[in-house]
Amino acid sequence: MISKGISWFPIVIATFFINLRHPLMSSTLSLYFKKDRLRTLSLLSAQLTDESFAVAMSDTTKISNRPSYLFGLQMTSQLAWIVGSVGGALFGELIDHKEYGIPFALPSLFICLLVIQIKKVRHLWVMVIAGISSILFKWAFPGNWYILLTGLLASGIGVIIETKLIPSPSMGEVEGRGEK
Amino acid sequence: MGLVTFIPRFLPITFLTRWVIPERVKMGLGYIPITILSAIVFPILFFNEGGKVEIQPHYLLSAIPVFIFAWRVKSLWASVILGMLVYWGLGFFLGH
Repeated sequence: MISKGISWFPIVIATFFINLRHPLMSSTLSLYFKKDRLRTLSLLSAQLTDESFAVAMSDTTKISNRPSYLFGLQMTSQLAWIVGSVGGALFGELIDHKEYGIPFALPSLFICLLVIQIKKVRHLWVMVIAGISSILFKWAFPGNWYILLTGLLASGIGVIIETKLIPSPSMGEVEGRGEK
Repeated sequence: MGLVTFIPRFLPITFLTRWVIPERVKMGLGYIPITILSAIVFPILFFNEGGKVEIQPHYLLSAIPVFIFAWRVKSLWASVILGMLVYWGLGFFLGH
């Protein structure tokens, strides 16, 4: 964006709105780290990304009160990103980026990251509700508001499903979520 | 610039680890991974590059096998490779 000569202020504002989902992700992580030092938390939050967050949340027993585990996960992700970026910059011109299914690599990753969060039947329902509402919100609101709005609305509906309706049977997993 | 990307990540975890969080809110936060990831995945399948609502058959048809495969195998690597292969293969039928 800087190379296109856009002045800095709109870029900063745009970045802020693109990252509106991060407060939700950061809040979610807070459930697993009790009273860690500010320095630890600032390191962890600086490295918060969609991908490392999703991997961390797929098995919360591993990160619960283990900031070093999450940090290792984030560093692995960061390192792979740097290596990948350098590799892409050096060799990217050798292949056509529309070929070999490359456009679907990232969507595939996010589909798998989504699937590994589904542990109970009600999670599947929440996914469907979130999917529909994300499409409606993206259609109705500009920018990236749809991610934040979907997160709030569908999570709220998830709580209603969990508290008001009959608890759904677990899907092959050990009963109880083990994280509360 | 750095601050704008850092503060939304830092403030919530810092304050919430020090406050007592109501059970309802904790329960809601438990759904954040699923809802945020759904909000990332679904619009890819139903919006065109211009940001208009339009079913993306190429993406949608590739997404279904990846979803089923990821469900059974739960491997990030294998899912990405399968997704790329299916998408690439579909390209010969659908054009592009």
